[in-house]
This record gives sequence, C-alpha cells and structure tokens, in this order.
Amino acid sequence: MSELLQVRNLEMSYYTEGGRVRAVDGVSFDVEQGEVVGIVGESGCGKTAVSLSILRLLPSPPAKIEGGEILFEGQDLVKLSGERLRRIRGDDIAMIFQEPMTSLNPVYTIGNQLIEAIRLHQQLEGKAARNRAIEMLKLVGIPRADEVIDEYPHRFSGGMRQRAMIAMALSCDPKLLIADEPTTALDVTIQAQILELMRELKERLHTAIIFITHDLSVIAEMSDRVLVMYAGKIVEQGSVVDLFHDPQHPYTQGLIGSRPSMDVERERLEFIPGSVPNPLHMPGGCPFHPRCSHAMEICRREMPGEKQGENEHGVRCWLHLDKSDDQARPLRAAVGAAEE
Amino acid sequence: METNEIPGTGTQSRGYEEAEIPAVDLEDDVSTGTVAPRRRRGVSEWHQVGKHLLRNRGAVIGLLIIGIFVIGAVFAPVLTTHNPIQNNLTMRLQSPSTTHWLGTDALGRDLYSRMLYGSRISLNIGLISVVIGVAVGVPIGAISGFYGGKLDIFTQRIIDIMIAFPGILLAIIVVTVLGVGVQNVMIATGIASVPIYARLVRGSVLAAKEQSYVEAARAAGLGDASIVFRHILPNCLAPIIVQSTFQIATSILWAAGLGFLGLGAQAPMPEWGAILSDGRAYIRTAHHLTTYPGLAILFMVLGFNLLGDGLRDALDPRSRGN
Repeated sequence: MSELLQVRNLEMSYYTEGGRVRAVDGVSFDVEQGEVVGIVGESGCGKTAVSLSILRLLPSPPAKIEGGEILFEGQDLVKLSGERLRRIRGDDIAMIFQEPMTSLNPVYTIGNQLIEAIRLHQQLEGKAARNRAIEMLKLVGIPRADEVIDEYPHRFSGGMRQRAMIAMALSCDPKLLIADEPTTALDVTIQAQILELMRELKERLHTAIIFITHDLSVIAEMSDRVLVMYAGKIVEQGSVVDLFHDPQHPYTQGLIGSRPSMDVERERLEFIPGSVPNPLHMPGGCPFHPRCSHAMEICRREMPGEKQGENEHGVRCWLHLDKSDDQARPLRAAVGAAEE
Repeated sequence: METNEIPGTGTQSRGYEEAEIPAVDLEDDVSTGTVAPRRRRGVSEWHQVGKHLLRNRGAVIGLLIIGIFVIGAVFAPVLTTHNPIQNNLTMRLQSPSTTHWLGTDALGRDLYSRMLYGSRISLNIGLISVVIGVAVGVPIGAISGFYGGKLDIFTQRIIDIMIAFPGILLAIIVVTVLGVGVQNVMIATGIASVPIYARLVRGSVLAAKEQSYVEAARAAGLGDASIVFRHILPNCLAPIIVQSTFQIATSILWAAGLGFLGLGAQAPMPEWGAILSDGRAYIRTAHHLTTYPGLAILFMVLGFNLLGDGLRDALDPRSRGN
C-alpha cells in the first residue's frame, strides 16, 4: 500500500478578536490507499479544523494555515492554486458533513444536485449523467431511485439525505472521503445503517476514508487506525486494536474508560474531570495536564515529544518518556501540599 | 406607500427550516426496503406557494385588479373608443357621457382612451424599472454579502448614501441629469431602487452563505460564481420577489409623481401623472380629470401591494403553517 495523503506538521490558527487560537498545532499523519483513519476527540479539539484544512475549506480570514504540508499524491494542497484545488475537491477528495438536513440545497431536486457534481468532474452529460446519478442512489440503498431522483430534499428523512450526500460524495470515485461526524445528527438505528453502508462501500470501492467523530464506538467499528486529538494536537495514534487494548495516553484511557460498558456493572460512568481548556489561554506544557491524574512537574513546563512504539503506535506523554526524578515529581501532590 | 421594509423576509434566515415545511416526508424504512406510498412526486416549493397565494383573499383581489389593468393595457387599441392624442376642441372638458365614458380633457381628448393607453406606460415603467433595479442591485448585494470584507464595507457605504435620499428625490436627481422623458423615468426609478435590492440581497446572502449546502458545494469543487448564482441566490429569491412586487407599485407612484412634476412623459403622451397634473387647473369645473387618473393610480398601486402582501405570507413557511 502506498501513502495517499501525508499531513506534515500542519499548523492552523484562527485570528479572532480575542487573539490567536491555534486550532491545529503541529499535526502529522498519513492515510494509505483504502485505509480508514479515525480522528477522535472532544468538541473543539481541532478534528474538524484538520479536515477542513485538507480541502482548504476554512474561511480566511479568520482561519490561516500557517505551516506544514498536506501532500496528496505528492502535491502540496496548501500551496495549490484555487483553480487546481477546485479540480481536486469533489473529484479526488470528497467530503460528507455532519448536518444532512442542511447539506442539500432546498431549491434543487436531489437529482439536480447529484448531476451537477457528476457533470462537473466527469465528462458525462444529459442522459448519461442522469443514469449515473440513479446508479449512485441505488448504490447507497435508496429505494426507487429512478423516481426519488426528482424529489426535493425536504421530502427526504435525515437518513435518506445522508445517503444522498454519500451518493454525491462518491459519484466521482474519490480516492479519499472525509466524513465529518456523518452520523452525529442521526438517531441510533439510522446511524448503524449509515455506518454499515459506509463500510460496505469502502470494501467495494476501495476509497480511503478519514472518519471524524467524538464517538469511540463508531471509531472502533469503522477504523483501521485512530488518531486521538486534544487541544489541536495528536496525543496518541495507532492501530485500532492497539489503541483500544493498550491505550497509552491518560486522555485516551479516560475516553475509553468513560464509555458505557456491558461487561462491568457500574453505578455511574467514569469521566475526565474538567473541560477542554480555553483555546485563548492554553495551559503551558502539555495542554492536558490540568485534567490529568498522572500530571508531573515537567508536564506543566514542556510539551512532550512523540514516543514511537511498536506498530507505529505513537504517544505524546511524559509518562512514556525519559525524564529526571525531579521532573517526575507528581504535580497533584505538589499542588495539594502547597494548598495545605 | 414606501414599502421598502418587508417584515418576515429581509435579512432573517430564509424560511426553509425543515420542521416547518408541511410537505410529506418520505419516511422510507430502508432497512426493510418498504417505502412510503408515493405522493405528489416532484412537488416543488412553488406549487405550495401558488396554492397558498390563491387562498389569500387580499392577494386574489390584488391579482384581479392587476389583471384588469393588464388586459386594459394589452387590448387598449381594441377597447378604446377614441384616439388618445387626437385633439377635438369642440368637445373640451365634457363630463362623462355615453360617447366619452370618462369625459374629455381641456383639448377635447377622450379621457377613457387616454387612461387605457396610460396603463401601458405605467405598467411598463413599473416592470422595466424593477428589471433595472434587480439586474443592478441583486449582483451588487450578492457580491457584497458573499465576499464581505473591505469590498462589502465600501459598497454598503455607497448604498447608505443612496438610501439616505428618499427614492423620489433620487429619481428626480437622475432625471435631472439624464433629461425628461419616459425612458429616463424608467432608468431613474430603476436606479432609485438599486440600493433597496442591494441591501436586501446582501442580508439574505449573509444568512444563506452560512448554510452547509454552500460548504458542501465548495467541497464538491464548485467555483465562487456557481456557488453564488446557482446555490445562494435561488435561496434568496423569496424576498426579492416580494420586494419586486412592492417596488413595481412604488415605481409607478414615483413615475406618476415625476409625470405630475412635468419631469416624466411629455405631452401628448397619456401618462397618468401628467393627465393628473394637466387636470389640476380644472379641478373645480371638471373634477373627472383628476379623480379618474387618481383612482387608477390608487388601484394599480393597491393591487400590487395586496399581491406583495400575499406573496410575502405565501413565501414564508412560518406563516403558512398548515
């Protein structure tokens, strides 16, 4: 397998009235052909910012990509001209959004919108484009596709719309599909159907997928590899098996621990104390240290580097890096002593 | 009569929120492959609007009034009894009678015939000035709202200056520059309505461009022009249509005002405002010269305003609520 997408040290900031917000801070990862990479994290951790950066869909200003490269089949998307970028959007890289209810234009029929995408990227016109659109609707499991194609979006339910969106995204045989929380707005049974559909399509079409979600169980079901993001940084990455069986970062452990489980009986769900730090006032050192039960002196001062384990299982945490005894002094105890 | 503000449309988000659309949802259960019974395939938003409009009594009356004027204007040569510009000094200032249904003016011309031909002029002015206003104002507003930034600030300040003048005054300024005449009145009223459209469309575009279908269109590789004109503007159509209906009425009124001031149609053209102005001198002896053109202006403006009100309600899903 070869690398389809290589993101290297991506830095993206929003310039707001309150100051500069580093939404994506030195993120690097690869996506191989046909691979499903999950990005998981809390709201505001930068997962959507990463996905929008790849297609350069961020409004600028306030957003600005400040560094790094996004190599798609060797060409750097960060430096690409608007014209060439548009040819990649929708053609080589397609995207599905979180809100199926508003992602379809209410004034055009489903067919109109599908055919528009098909005509734009494939040299198909008229009847051929329409047939292709019907074929795509059938592929995503929309019944009676040849009639439904002339319907307006308001007559579709949420699940049907998301299927139509997937049909639209896949209509031009993209090499990479970015799915930004595609199931979040749907209810659980429809979620399962959509996930099943995406898995099926991935097998059939060999499309690489970047799957963004805050739902760990969705990640576990869908992904080959997982990136865990916190405050704009990737804190842990590895294969889905390694990550779930042997989470290294306290944040990942916390996320996995806070899922409801069928095996263990618990009165209350566990949770990670505190909330995501205000991006305008990021804590120094490791941004997770104020919430981390293992926090040490050094965590407050320095951001840990990445430690590569087996199977490209990487983690950015001082727990797994060499440090002096003094630096390893637990922070919580120190704070407690100071307070007393 | 200055109906520039349209409550319920304007800059608020366009009312296509799903929950409020009363149409049947395709509750297809894909897992079992069953499908809701087929109903009204391809029913567009516009069918709904039309149906709702016809249920609104005011709008129907407005349509009727406009219809009568349109028929009168189109078939004027057939329906008139006399040549509208033929003087007949022996029949000056006649009261309404069986030969001259609405009487005659100071030069003995048949008022009924003049007013029928006058409706052609008024309708033309109303329509063409709106076309000019839309053609210039909508792209300005769309580009200003879509790109934002310095361009937006610059455009909007110019619009502010234009809006600061009352429309009729703006029209008078333009006519003063271009010279008198019906064509220049059309251009003048058109230009005077440009800032209204620019402001209205900018607001609608600001709301529409945040919708995720715009982001989806961008992600699909569409260029700015396609996004603005194919995806954003069609979603801003409703306020534009409503404003245009009101604007036709306003333009007709402005044109009549300009005609009254002698800045519009020149003699012997039978423009309503000019007829009214000519008849003013005889208001004590031959009031029909001012009454009938006045009523005609009143009803035509009323008709368009009633239609506009009805359209505004019909195009707003929140007020449709059925």
